[in-house]
Amino acid sequence: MSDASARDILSRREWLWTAGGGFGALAMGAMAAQAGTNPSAPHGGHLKARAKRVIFLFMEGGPSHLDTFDPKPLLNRLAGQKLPSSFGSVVTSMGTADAPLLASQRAWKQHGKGGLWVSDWLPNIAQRADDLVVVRSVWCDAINHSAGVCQMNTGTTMGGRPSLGSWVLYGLGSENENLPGFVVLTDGSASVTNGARNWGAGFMPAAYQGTKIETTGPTLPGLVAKEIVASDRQKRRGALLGELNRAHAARTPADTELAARIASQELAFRMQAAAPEAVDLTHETPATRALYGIDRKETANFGKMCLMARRLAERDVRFIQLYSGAGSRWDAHANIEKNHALLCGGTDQPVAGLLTDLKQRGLLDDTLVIWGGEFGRTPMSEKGDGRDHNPWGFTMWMAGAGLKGGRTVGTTDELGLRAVDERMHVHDFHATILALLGLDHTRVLWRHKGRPERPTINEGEPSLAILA
Amino acid sequence: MTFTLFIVCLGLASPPDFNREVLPTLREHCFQCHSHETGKNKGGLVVDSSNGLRLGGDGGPAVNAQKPDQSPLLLAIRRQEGVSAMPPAKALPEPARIVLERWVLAGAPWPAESGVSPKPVKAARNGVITPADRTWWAFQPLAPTAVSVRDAQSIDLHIDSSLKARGWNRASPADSADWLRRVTYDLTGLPPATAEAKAFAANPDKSAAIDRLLASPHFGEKWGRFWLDLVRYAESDGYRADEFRPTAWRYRDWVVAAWNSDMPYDRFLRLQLAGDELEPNNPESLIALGYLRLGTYEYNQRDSTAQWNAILEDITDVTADVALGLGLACARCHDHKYDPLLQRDYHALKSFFSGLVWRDDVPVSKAEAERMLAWEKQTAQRREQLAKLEAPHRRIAFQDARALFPPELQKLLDTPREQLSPAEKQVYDIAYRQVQYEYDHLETRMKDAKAREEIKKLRLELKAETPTFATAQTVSEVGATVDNPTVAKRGKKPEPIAPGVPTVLDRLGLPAIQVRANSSGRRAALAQWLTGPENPLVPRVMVNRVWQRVFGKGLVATTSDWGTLGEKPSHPELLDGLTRGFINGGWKLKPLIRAMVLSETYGQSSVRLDNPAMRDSDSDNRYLWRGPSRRLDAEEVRDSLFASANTLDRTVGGPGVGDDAPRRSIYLKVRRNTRDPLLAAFDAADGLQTTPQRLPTVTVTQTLLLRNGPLAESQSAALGKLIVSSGEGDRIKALFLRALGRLPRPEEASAVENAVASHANDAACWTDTAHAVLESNAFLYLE
Repeated sequence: MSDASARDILSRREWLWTAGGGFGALAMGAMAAQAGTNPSAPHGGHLKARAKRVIFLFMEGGPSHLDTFDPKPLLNRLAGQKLPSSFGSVVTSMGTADAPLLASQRAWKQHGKGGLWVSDWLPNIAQRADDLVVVRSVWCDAINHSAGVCQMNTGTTMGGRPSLGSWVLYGLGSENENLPGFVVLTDGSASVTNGARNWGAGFMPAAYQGTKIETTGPTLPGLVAKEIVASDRQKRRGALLGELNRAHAARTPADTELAARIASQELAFRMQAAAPEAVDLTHETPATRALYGIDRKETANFGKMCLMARRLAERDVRFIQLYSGAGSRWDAHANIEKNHALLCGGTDQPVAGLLTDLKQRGLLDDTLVIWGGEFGRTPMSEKGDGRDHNPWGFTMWMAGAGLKGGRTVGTTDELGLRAVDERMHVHDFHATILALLGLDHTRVLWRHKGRPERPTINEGEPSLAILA
Repeated sequence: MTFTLFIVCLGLASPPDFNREVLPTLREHCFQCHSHETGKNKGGLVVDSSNGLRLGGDGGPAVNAQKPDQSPLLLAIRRQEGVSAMPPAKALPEPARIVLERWVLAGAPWPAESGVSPKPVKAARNGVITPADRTWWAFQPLAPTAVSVRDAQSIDLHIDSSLKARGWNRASPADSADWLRRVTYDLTGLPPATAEAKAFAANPDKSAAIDRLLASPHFGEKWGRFWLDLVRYAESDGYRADEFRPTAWRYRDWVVAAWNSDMPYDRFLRLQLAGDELEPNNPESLIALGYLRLGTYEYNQRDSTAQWNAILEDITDVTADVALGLGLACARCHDHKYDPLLQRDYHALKSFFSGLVWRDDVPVSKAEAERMLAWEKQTAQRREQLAKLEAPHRRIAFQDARALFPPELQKLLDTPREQLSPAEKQVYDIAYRQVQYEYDHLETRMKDAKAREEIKKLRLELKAETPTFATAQTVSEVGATVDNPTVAKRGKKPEPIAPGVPTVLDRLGLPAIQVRANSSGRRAALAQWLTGPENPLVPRVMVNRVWQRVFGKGLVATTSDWGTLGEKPSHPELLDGLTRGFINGGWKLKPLIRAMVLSETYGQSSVRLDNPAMRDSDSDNRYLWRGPSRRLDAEEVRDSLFASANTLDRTVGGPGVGDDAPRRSIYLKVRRNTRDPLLAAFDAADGLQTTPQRLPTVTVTQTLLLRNGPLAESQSAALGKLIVSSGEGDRIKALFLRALGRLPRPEEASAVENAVASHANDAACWTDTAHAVLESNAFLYLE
């Protein structure tokens, strides 16, 4: 049997899936049987989808909700005193439960038609207030970074489960033949807390894991040869490889995994061309670059990442995750003024620019943009001028996906310590994201060690308040 | 009031809106104590699903479908006499109560699309294992009719008869060079050396080849890795700091050596679980117990009580997975929904481990211990001097570390350890590691510059003189008496659970627990029970794992799930026969593996075109109508790149090395948060969860790493050079022998010949040719 007919074993749908970051034919069969559906191609979810893709802006280390989106007048009135006993006690990471309350030094204003409160640390995002649904009542189970970042990505505080992006890729497939379906970008060279397992596929096949692409140098590992190999040599090598693989496939025509392998080898050639182009910003106009703050030193880095995110979104990459402050740089245990001023300053314009640009290109309607960290920060002070970790109540926001913006969902108590109304566990938040993408979080199933596993671990439910 | 009445009247006709009214009410008032979301099931009850309500808690169902008005839930929220009022502290606000009343009276409908919880599955066990539960095949003794299978011919007879029953037959034998490549990888994870391939071509004596491979020190590297996958071996803590564990490799080396020496599996397991109790004078025991230290550890977790509990539960989960092939973790919070495993069983298994304490830097031999002691004596005075200097700063460090803990743990740390209960001591120990951390880093935190420099100097001097002692991370016990773990039930004091075996297997009695001087003896009893002569599960599970490694698919396909959601065996008689042979043969693994790879079933060609019917109805090759074929494992890919270019350093054992070292991949440092990119891309285990089988994937990253990755480039260049400089007349043959351990097939030879012909004088010609072969499917796949 010829190579062509061996390839035909892969249907068009399977072919597309293979393209989506690769896929094992063996696993494909297993999964189709598992989920009772054929997940091997881009396919719709269970519900009506409001968004096709996600851009998740992860502020790693835990930004302070009390100084950005959740103003607490009482905090400033009680500053210097201990947490009143009526607020209950908490076990904190750095033993700050009894430390004096720390006032927020921010100036607050209401913005947009919705009158959303945004602090003066984020003046540009404030201009997009009517795009935002600010969720003030998220909570999680982790008092430390590792567990928190792990949970915000995988639903659980212990490592080993698939990340949300992996579940989405599994649930919806990929629509781009030449790029990975789940892409991660990080600012700077520091490693994100927990490293690559934040975008790992856990117990699902590696095909669903996120691919971290570099913002400088070769985009993908191995995308560019270390030595520049002359193109005629490359071509010659490619031709011989093709011959050898054809000879091999002719012996084993029925092997679908081999067919997938050959497909992936051909895809690799295409990706070598497509990936650098996808993140190449040289042809973006000066106006666009300025919109993202690429023309200013402080904002250039995250601005480039946000612009790359838009380009990846345009190319239908399913799940795009950007880390700001990789290596817990938002973790303001001391001198929160300096720390947050720097990080807010570095991200405010890029994020606002991204929202503006997505909107003007008509992409915001079917793109879900998410902002937030693994937790918020305490009303109690640490080291006099910092704040400790706060997993009991913190802010995330969403934009796009046809959501009605300019509003808040949920509240924290009067000091911003705990979520009170519309309490939203990470599982609820994830279930909501999945619902916006058209996936019922109870029906995205993966059989693992005999158990039906779900993205939110059999818990959580979509927030009707957000979806409203 | 009018408003309320109106609702009540309406309520009789239609239930309230589930998502807008009922669910928020349940969540607000009930979930805190009764939901998966909060992890609480007080009184055994969860109210977060229809199933939860229907099955109810300790007191029976919460809703009565026949007589909704008699539903206990209704009576509880109405706070009726004789029923525990709910919520206990305070009656529901009236509107909330009315919502729930209307809903319960309407039959408590739970719309499927609410998606709060999984659909109802099965009746609750209520802590009972029924006679029917006990009939599940995996828990049965070996079939009396199953004749011991210890040789290749018997395996073939079994496989042939099951093929025949389907009207099928075996494939023709594989080409002998393909067979040699297959078996060499399967037994050692490496390609056949050129000389071996040539010798085998001249004299294809399979039995001799297998014996040679089984005796190779590389056998243990290949098969030890499979065990390391199962026990989630890694050399770092995980979590944020991902601290390196510099002595963890001793456990890895012990595993490799155990496979090489064909240690019987029962002893292998016993040493890892209870070497200290069973063979206290055997220095190997200390290292084997490293098994109990492989979990993750978060150095700054302040909730030490929960942390220690999680550590014990992790050990419980992994042990059930690995040894018993049962997913027991579900039963941590409730009886297992599918399998006959009770919550009590979970905690009874956990109870075997409840005496554990961690021990670091334990000398690995008596001689080493004496050397350490001598050194300590010799330096006693100076260390005392240093201790005096450090004392005031240690006090500050202690206070700083202590302040980070919640009050009850601060109190614990203030209490002299000997006054604490066994369970408190364990929590104290795990918390005290954070104090010790501060002591270890004392000079980095001191503000007094003069004192700091003095201490630093003394510490450095001492350190410079300290010889390297061979030590291990291991475990011992908190003492002869230990505290049982507890499970809370409604209205009762938390109930302590003594060690015990899963109820469904209680016909296999637990050996008496013999208390040792400083150890509870519990783990020894567990180890003896697991490896006892009557236990059908443990040897069956292992025999099946070995079968899966050799043939690609287990006789029980779900190798770590032998419960009711797992698959039943494809060849039950063969499984039991092999298990009986395994037990009769003294639990030795090499003879088992030998019989499998020597079988004609294993020796079949993996390519079969003559019978599409078999392929269509059994594409997984469960019935073995063709030989096994697979992609190379991650380690095999990396090791083969080096081996082909003759650059592989075949040293066996030793501390982990950096990923540039041309050592076998099993010796690379395994950091949980920083994986080797090539190994990760080719689906290596991540060291976080037990990995019974790897899922082979096809990804672009794999392709790109083989095409352009630094290792593929450097080894292609080295291989190209080797071919040119070897002086071999037939370079193409030499290349295939080196890269694939076999001669080229005619079509391969002619493809290379054509490619080379046009640029034979090009300096890069053989580099590029070698590279094409090393990224080809012929390299990546075993036929």
